[in-house]
Amino acid sequence: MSAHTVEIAGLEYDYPGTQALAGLSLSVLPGQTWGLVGNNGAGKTTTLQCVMGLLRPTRGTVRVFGIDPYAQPREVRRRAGFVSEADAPYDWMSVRHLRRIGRMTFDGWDEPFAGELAERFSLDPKKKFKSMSKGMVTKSKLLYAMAHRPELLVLDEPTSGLDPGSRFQLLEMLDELRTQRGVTTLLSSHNFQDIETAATHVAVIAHGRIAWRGTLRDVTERSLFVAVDADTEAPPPGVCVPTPSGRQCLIDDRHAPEAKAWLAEARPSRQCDPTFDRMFRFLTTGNPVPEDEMMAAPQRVPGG
Amino acid sequence: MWCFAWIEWAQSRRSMLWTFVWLLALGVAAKLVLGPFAIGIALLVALVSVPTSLGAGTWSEEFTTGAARFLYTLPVNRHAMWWIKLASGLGSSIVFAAVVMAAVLFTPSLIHTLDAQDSLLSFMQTRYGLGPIATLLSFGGPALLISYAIGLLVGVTVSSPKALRIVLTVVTIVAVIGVSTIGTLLFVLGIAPGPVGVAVVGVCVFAILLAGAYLVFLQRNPYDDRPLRWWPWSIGSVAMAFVALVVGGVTAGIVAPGPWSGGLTATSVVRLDPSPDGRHVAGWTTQLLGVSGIQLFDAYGNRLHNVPEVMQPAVVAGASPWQSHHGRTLLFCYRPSIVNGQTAFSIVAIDIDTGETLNFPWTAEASATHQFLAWDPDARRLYTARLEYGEDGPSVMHVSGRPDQPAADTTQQLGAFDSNWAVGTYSAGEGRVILEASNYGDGASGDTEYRVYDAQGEFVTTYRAPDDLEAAWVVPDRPGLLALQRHIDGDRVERSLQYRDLLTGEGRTFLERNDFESFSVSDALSGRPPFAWVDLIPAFGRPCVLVRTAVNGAHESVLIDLDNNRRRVFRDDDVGLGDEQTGHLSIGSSVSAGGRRLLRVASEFDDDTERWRYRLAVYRIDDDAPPYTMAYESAGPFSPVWLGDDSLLFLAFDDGFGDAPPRLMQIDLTASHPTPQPWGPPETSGVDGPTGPAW
Repeated sequence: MSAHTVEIAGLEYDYPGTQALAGLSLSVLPGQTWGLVGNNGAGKTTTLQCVMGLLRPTRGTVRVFGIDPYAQPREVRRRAGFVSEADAPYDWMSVRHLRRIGRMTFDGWDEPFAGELAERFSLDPKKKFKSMSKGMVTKSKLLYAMAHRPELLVLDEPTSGLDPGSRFQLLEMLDELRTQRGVTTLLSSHNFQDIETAATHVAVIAHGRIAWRGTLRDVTERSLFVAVDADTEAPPPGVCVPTPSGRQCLIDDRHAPEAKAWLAEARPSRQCDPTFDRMFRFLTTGNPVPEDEMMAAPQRVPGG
Repeated sequence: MWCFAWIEWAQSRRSMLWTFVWLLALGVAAKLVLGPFAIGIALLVALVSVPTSLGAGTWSEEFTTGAARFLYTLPVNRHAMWWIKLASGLGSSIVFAAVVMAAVLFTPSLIHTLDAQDSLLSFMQTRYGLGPIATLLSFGGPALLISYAIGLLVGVTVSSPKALRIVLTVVTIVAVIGVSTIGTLLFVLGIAPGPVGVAVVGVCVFAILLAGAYLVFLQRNPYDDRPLRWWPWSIGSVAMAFVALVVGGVTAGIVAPGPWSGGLTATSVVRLDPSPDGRHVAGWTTQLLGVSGIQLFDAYGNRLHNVPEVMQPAVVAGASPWQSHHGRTLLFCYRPSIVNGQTAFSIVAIDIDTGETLNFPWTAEASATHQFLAWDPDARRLYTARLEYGEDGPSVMHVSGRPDQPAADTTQQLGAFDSNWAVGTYSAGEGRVILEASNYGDGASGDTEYRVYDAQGEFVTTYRAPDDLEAAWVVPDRPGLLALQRHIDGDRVERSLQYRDLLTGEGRTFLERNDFESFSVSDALSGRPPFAWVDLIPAFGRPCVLVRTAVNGAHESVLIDLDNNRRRVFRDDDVGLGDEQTGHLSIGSSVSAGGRRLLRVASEFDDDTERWRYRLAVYRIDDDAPPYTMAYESAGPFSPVWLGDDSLLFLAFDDGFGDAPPRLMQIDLTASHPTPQPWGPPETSGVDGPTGPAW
């Protein structure tokens, strides 16, 4: 039995004419909250749907609780909660109906907790989905996803459409579930603030792969942007993009031993500390950090 | 699974009540306005369009609104989802079909009173031996299942076309066509006939369609699909347009005047049977499935008079199917049914003016015949004698009854004979029966007696034919005989034609001895008496007799009205029906319904061509106009049928083998040069063409 709640290895998924995932790997330990970030079409939603067993991987493996979620979807879905913008309960349904379905579906359905969630989200139990706002629908789905006390929450852009108060409430709740109940969460979002608030770990997905993964502290303390001349021959121990004057590379502590040697040889002229925003732009768009944000080097070595 | 069952129930019941009300109202309105035609439309709606639309809509909401994605996130077995949806869709189809059919069947019609559903069920009973429930299960059930499965297959395929799903669909359709073809062949070849064969093939087709739809469904994944959100409306519109087209076409075909008026049945007339007043004709027809039925033609309206399916599968009753009294015309039919696995017949009378049906629940074995039907409109009682042939010989029952009082039926055995006897029965009027029994056993030369029974079947009197009786004919609806009597005077034999009342014993002579040519005893003994031919003409409305004989070397015919002794003499030589010695054989004669024309048919063998020639002569008998004559060459004889106002004559040519329906010709006798024209019934061709009939 794997110690990981979620273990993804070499995951590939092809839509007709499009490769959505191109060898994505990710391991999630119990109690971790992973924020998945990436541009539209990067593969976040596809990854989460593969985790829930809703899509069959073209290649690679996915294990959730040590189980293949596509082969045994019911076993995974009983222990996981899923919120997605892609699905929609019948528009004639209401929160009351969802709670009824939950009671019939999940052994661990916690009706008092469902009531508590409905109260916290200010949900009218009789109001039908067809007359709800997008945010209310999302809150209803969150209630349905959480009230059976899942071990894993898979949330695909759950804050989309939420008002600021509800959004903060949700993020706070996720933190509570993690710290008090050890719930593991996979959370995709376009909002860095959500990730910074709720996630313990971040995975940047670009072009169907994990472009960078680590903790939030890793971003600021164990990574470094450096600029080197074009004629530097030694291969950089990180991700590099070309610039007019040479190359700009993102180096993190996983490459620290090689980084020190490489830095000594390459003698980078300028460097800067990577913020989450800078790193995301660098990894997902391939655009270097603006020159005016770079400073004279060396100031520090990542991990050093 | 229960959660999904609850979802399905909650979803289905949302519009169920209004749909029920809508269908109920539609069915009731259709039946009120369209009458029995609504049953056909309702069958189409209940067994085809509603199940198909429900099948196509089974997953439509889920796959187009994102609800399917929601369902897929539930820890529910998707196979269970499929079967629950399937059960729900089929259940709804059955309930909706039941509502439509109940609304139609139990609503009286404002304009039609014919009992169509009874006839439909009777048809199934007769043709396939099925009761109402078995009929629904055997034919309606597979139709509904297949319709639903077609909709389901199309629905799950069209809403998200992908190569594999289309391949699965095509494979399914090919399999369905294959199984249907094999099933049809088995049915036609008689290997798997009847309702069981139909039901088995139907269920097989349904199973294939269902399996195809299921495989397509398993290939679907709402998170992977790219649904065409426009499909429900577009496909729904196309489907509805198609259904509307079919329903509209069928409705127009049924209710609109024209060649298809009265029903979409391929018809060929195999016999025309005119009513006594000539206003209507019962056409014995062959239907698509080989089921014999009846169509009624209005002689004056150039249209079908009644709905054919109402009459099916009845067949026109025996020798006297029409009864006309007090201006009302009844057509008596046999309605076959299966009783204990055996075909039996009951009698139903249809008032063709009002559509009222009178049912007589007497049943008889298929081998039995009713020799006549006599309807007493004042007493509303039907009298008949039923002749049954058993292993021991013929037996005769006198049966009478009222349609509204089955308890008042009476059945009386008139006699049982051994196989040496030939038996015939005739109506003697007022419910009485004349039983004619001739013993031909042991070389006897025809010992014949006539027994008279009253309306209760009680014996009244008997009359044994004397030795000098050459021939006798029972006069229709009279308690008497027309007898060709011989009189021996020395070595000469003379003849006279007499009417003998069997009740009173009184006699009346219509043709005296000198009206016939006398002949010698030796000629009589050698079987070569002079020609004398007598034809009773029952179609005249009054009893008449046409006697043809040779007097002083010239052939002539005399038509005598037995009631008033009016007579009209024709010289046969004038119309080419002359000398018997040249090979002429008289075939038949009849008087038109209006009584103004007489026709005669004779045949002659042409030695030159070595073929038979058939000659028809038509006389005006109400004045001295010259007769109209014509001749045909045909492989077989033809049957003349009078219609309408005495001016239309139909000739039915038979190939003599019964392999094909007769060819029909029509003659307008009012034309300056009456010429036979080909004719087909309204359903086939030529109704409105320049050579079409005038009716």
